[in-house]
Amino acid sequence: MGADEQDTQTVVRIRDLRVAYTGESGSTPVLNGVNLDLRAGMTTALVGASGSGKSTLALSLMRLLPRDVEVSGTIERIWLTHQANLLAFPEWRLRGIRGEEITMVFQSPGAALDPVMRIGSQMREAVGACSGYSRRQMREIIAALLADVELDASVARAYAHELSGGMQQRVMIAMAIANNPDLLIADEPTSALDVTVQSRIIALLKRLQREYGFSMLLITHDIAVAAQVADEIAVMSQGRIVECGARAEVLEHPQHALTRSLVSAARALSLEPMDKV
Amino acid sequence: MTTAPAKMTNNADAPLLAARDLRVTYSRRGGGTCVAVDGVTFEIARGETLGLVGESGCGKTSLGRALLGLIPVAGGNVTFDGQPIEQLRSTVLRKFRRRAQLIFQDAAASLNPRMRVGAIVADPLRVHGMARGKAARERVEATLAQVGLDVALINRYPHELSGGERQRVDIARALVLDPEFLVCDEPVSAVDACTRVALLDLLRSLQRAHQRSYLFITHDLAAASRMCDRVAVMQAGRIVELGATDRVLSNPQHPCTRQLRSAVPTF
Repeated sequence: MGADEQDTQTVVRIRDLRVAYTGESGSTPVLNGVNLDLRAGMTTALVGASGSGKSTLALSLMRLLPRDVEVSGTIERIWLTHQANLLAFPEWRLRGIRGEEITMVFQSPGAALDPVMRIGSQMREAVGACSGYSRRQMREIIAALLADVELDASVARAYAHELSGGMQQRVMIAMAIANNPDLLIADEPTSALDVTVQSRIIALLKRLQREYGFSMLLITHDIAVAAQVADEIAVMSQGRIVECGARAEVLEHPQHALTRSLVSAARALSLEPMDKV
Repeated sequence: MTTAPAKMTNNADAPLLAARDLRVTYSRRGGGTCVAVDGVTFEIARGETLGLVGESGCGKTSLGRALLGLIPVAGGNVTFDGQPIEQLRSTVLRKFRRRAQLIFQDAAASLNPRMRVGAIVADPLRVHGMARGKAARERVEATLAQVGLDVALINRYPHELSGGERQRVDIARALVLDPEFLVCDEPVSAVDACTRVALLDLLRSLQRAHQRSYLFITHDLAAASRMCDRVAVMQAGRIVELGATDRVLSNPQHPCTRQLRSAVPTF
């Protein structure tokens, strides 16, 4: 495994990332020097309590932070032949990155989807309204994407409120994979869903990753979810990554006190494997 | 109708709550009805926690609300302490409402954002005319302490609290009246795993200390296993399996139970 891992290409390399929100009462540091590598085709789970800076890290990767923040450090986007610091990109150059090379699935699909637009129209925007596809081609692309997330093509004509939470999240995932991204950021993709739906969405993300080959940054407060999907687990606390390593290593030999408490909470909320079904 | 005795009976052996062939329906826009609860029968003993487990949309919340008389039932009946609740009127109904309380899933949505914690927890005391002024304040402080909240939070607004703290405020609001029966509707689904374990243990200890009865609604069999004496599994408005928690978890009979069982992460 060690040799493979070294050969795997890094798609994003974060070094000493610091983000502070500035306001009337001075600046509040949220990220205090984050170092993290995201590798092609691998899933890194970012685990931590609410307020630890997980979502700020995701928004930094997408360059979607509000204006009144101080940012330093580097987020290097690494392509096959070259690399560049995303933090230094002018806004116009981000257009080719956001929603194309790096895409995101949010926690509450009900809030992320437009309530007055049919699903098909929203997906058309995700695929690229000006991509030059004919109406018919576009319809076929959307049907194929819906099939990929195990939804019927008729969903394209529905409005968001007509779908269940699980179906809404599948639509979000379909839009996130539409442009064959290099990195998919999933910010608490299953926290708003019930356990059975949760496990199906996780299985879906895993299958799509195998088929499409994107690397995934999975943000979650639940280390049990991380245990199901991640190749690597990074544990975050107060804007720092306090522990990072291969999944089995982190789960079986947690070093940091926070990791240990997350693991023991997850064990308390799990059940013995069923011997008899 | 008003022939019911003013004081409820207190037969210790009889179940505290019984639902018989309970049905809840909603009318659809443009005609037709949607059957949310479809002929459900069960009992909850004094001091017992019954888990109600099922996927979202199976009718769990409708059933919980019908038990409290918060939504009209389309058929069957609910008896609380020997009395059919749909016949309760005026003072007896108010007394029932005091004895049976609800804890909501999403405390961020169920707490008034413009009221301070102290006022939120004191509100039921005011509504039921049970305590005022200094007595109310003392009772609120005692209840906050019971749920593990710092009394200093009394002057905070809900948005100033963490998710776990808000959920504790919601629990305190339900407990301040010292109810005998609580419907806990997914009380820990919106919080992270560490907080979830802490809240489950809190609810369990509060239940044991006062011999309360709970209907514990959840989609998570692992949470149910930590809380419940018996578990009822619900699917499409019906209870498809009901039994002791250990038996249901170790030897699930219905396919729906097995599916819920296998969705729980094995860690």
